[in-house]
Parts: sequence; structure tokens; C-alpha cells
Amino acid sequence: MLSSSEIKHIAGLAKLRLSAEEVQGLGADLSRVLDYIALLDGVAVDETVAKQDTDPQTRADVPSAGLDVEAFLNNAPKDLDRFLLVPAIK
Amino acid sequence: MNLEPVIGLEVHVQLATESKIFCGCPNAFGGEPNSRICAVCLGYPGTLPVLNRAAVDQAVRLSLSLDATINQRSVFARKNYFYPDLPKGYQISQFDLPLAEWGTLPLSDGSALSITRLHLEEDAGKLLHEMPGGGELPGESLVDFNRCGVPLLEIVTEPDLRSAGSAQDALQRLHQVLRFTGTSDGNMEEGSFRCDANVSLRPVGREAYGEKVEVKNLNSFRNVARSILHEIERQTLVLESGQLVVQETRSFDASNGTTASLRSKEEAHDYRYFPEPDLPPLLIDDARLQSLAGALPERPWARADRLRSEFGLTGDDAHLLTQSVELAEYFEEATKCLPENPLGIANWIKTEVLRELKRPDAPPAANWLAPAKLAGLVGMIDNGSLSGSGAKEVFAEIWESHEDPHRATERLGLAQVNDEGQLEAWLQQALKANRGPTEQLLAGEHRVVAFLVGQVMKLSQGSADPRWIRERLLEWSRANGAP
Repeated sequence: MLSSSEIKHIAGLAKLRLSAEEVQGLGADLSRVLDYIALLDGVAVDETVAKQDTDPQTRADVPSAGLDVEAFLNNAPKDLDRFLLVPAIK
Repeated sequence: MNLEPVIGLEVHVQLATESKIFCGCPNAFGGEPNSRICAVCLGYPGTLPVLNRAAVDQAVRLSLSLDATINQRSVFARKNYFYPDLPKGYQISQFDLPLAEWGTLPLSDGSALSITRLHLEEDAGKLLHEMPGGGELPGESLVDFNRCGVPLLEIVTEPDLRSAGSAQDALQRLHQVLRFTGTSDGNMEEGSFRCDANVSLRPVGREAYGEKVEVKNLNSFRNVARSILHEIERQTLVLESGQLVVQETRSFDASNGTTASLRSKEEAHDYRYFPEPDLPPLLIDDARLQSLAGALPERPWARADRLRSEFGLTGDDAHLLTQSVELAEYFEEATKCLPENPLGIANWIKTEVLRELKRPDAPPAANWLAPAKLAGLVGMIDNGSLSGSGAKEVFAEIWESHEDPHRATERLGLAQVNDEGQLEAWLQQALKANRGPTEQLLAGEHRVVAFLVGQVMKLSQGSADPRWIRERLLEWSRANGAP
């Protein structure tokens, strides 16, 4: 079971402000998530090997066209002069 | 209490590639905001990073240039933090298995700085807290993601530096290395070369380190030295007043030369590193490593050694001419055009060229006077068709205009006359017109020589070589009975 201080630490890293009830509830929920993922501990993965004969893992240094700025900004809540506008960062 | 500073450096170098490290967006500086972005560098769901081979090659080259050991298997890791300049919510970096470890950077005083590690990572975007023109932006910040995903090599040194001056020297040497190897443009104003310094103090003789402060926001070599000097002074005052230095990150303010706290250790990030599941381990096989090592560009100190042995330069001159790769190239290019006088060219670069380059409005290397033209000028002095002082005048004329030195010499009427018949005629004319001094010369009174040389120069309208005239006058006087 995750402690409430662990939950608060994780929430702080994610910039989330949680109420006391939420900390309680999330502690239980997250612990269940972790327990479920812990099933993986029982799987032997040491033998897994990625076989690469040719070098598929890299690309040549060739520039390509990306996203249109309008399409990008259409997904943003606020923008100004082609910039994304976000709450001030101190 | 006798305190000693302990300084280590962390440098972020933007690698010279055409495209970003994990996507095909161009790697460039400036331009319209958010004009070099794509689904990958913005971290859109479902996208996958694919590593740029050239970024790896550049990183390996720079690591090898610092004699570091390449890990032929290194692993990318996610460094998690929440900030608006990082669209994915994590930076792809390397953590427990970096690309390279244990390098060496030779310093100017003959000592060497150990490099702990060198790892590949992606750059973050850029935040602006005021309008690009300088207008206020209350309560909001602007985000430009163009820099997101630009390939970086982070270089971390051992805390072996003991003064602000040696820290500055180390950075300048490192900058020299990446410029000579072409692995980065090293442009500090554009952020291609960014430095943080870790500074702590400890009583002399004690081995354990004191609490360290990380100073950020250092955008010039001079500011690195200034910030370290300030930190040494500040921490000394804290310790001498019986207090403890707080481990924290501080930001340097170049306008007043001081540092201010950014965040303390308690607020320090918890990055929760874990291996990047979207990228396989980076494998560099022997063949690739050998081919990169075999084609490694000449490092600055090796180039200085070669200039000494190949052209007979002194150690100081070789050091001076390798202070930048542009200057070293300039010297060698000019020397190709005048192979018989490399020392003459070195002298001209040391004096006239460097004087021009020290001006605040000095042109970029692409706009320097062509090395062939400098060589042409030096060649004209060597063959006697231009005097040394005339050449300086010509140089001042052509440095900006790029005019051909021969044409400028003609235009300025500075060409030296080499026709001995003509020179002899002027000399005889001067002797006849100045009976008294001529008698004195024949009587062995050498103090009149300068006067007579001046008379010949006047007749030649400055086109005679005064050294030749002087020697000829003495020769003539001896031939005519002078003691």
C-alpha cells in the first residue's frame, strides 16, 4: 500500500493538488495498479533478445517537412504570434 | 579558515546535424516560432522516436576527441519532469549507461581535466517570459518548440578545477575541440554551447567535498568566471560567519555579477529515470567505431604541434594561430599560396589580422580578406615591390574592400621601384644637389646618410626602397674614398 506521503510526492511531481479524500482514494487505486503490474515480476524476460541484422534502429540525417504551425496551434488552448501561450512560469 | 574552491562543469553541446535527434525536423536556429515541429518531437500519442545516425556519429567523434571510452552498448532513458518546454513530459536522455565515459581535456597550463561522462539527449523547447520585441507579458509565457529534439551531448567533468580562471580555460579548450572537430558550431549566443558550474568550498587539506551549488544561465566564458568568483566569495562569507552553505541551484545575473537561488535541494527534481522503452539499446560495432576513430579531425593541440613542426612556428605562435579553427585554416590556406614564407604570413596574421579581428565589429570568417590576397601582399614585400609600411597601408585599404593587393598598391601609388638604373639616377641626382652632405658622407660622417636617403625618397616620391638606398649610399661612399 502506498503511503499518503508517497501519493503526495507523486502528485507534486505531476503538479496535481489533491484533497485529503483524493489522497486516500488514490492510495488504494494506485496500489492495486502496482499490484497488477507486479504480475510481470513472475515472467522470465531475461532471455528476450532483439535481433538486429541490418541496423533498423536508426535513420539517415535527412530533414523532412513536419507539421503546419496552424494545425499545431489549432490543438492549443491559447496562442499568440505563432507561439503557444501558457500560464506564466516562474 | 583557509578554504579551497572545488569546481566541476556540466556542458550541453548542440551537435551539428541536418535534422533533429529522433525525427526529421531540421536542426537549425532562429526562424519563425514553431516552424520546425512534428508529431514526434511534440510527443503526439502513437508516435515513435527513431535515432539519427549522424547525431550518434558526431557524439562519438567528440567523445573520441576527448579520449573518452565509448560504451559500445549504451541505453536511452526517460528523465521525467513536468514543464511547458517539454511536450512529452519526459526528456529522452541517457542515465546509467551513457554513450562514453572517462575522457581527458588538456588545459593550457599543461594539466588535464578528467571528464566523467558524455551522454546523448534531446534538447527541450524554449520559453519566453516577455514578448519577442520586449513587451510585457503579465501572467503568461510563450512556448516555441523549434529546439525540441535538437541533438545534445552533455559533458560532465570531475570536480577537479580549483579556480575560476581554470574553469574558464577548460571551457575555452572544450569549445576549441568541438570547433576543430566540426561536431558543433559552438555558438554561445545561439545556445549551441551551454554551461553550468558546480561550485563548493572545503578547508584546504580536507578530502570530503563541501555542500555544492549549481550555477546556471552562463552564456559566455567570461560570465562563467565571474559567476564562479562570485560564488567563491559568497560561500566564503557564509562559512566564515559560521553558517552552512545550502545545496541549491542558483542563477547568474550578468547585469550585476551575482547569483540568486532558483531552487533548494528539498525542491530538487525527482526525475524517476527508467530505460526508454521506445528505443532499443544503442549499439556501436567495432567497424563503425574504427571508421569514426580513423577519420577523426585534427584536434587543436595536435594542429598546434603540426604547425610548429611543419612550418617552424614558435610554440606561442602555433598556440595563437590555433585559438580558433578559422584562424588555423586561414593561416594554412595563405601558406599554400606562399609556401616559401610561412613565418611572414604568421607574423601578418598575428599583428594586422588579429588586430582587425579584435574590433567589436569584426566580420565573420566568411568575410575575412581572402587568404590568397594576404599571401599576395606578403609576397610583394618579399620580392621588394612593396615596403613594409606601404604594405600596412595597403592592408588597411583592402581588409574590408577585398581589393586585389597589387591593384590597391598601384592605385595608392605605393609600388616600390626595383629598377636599379632609375634608383641610381635618383641617388646621383640627390648627391649632386646636396654638395655639403655629400662631402660629409665622403669624410665618413654617417649621420648624414639618413638625410641623403630622405632626399632620394623625395625624388622617387616614396617609391624607392629606403634600405636599398642606404646600402647603396654607403657602398658608393666607400668606392669613392670614404673611410
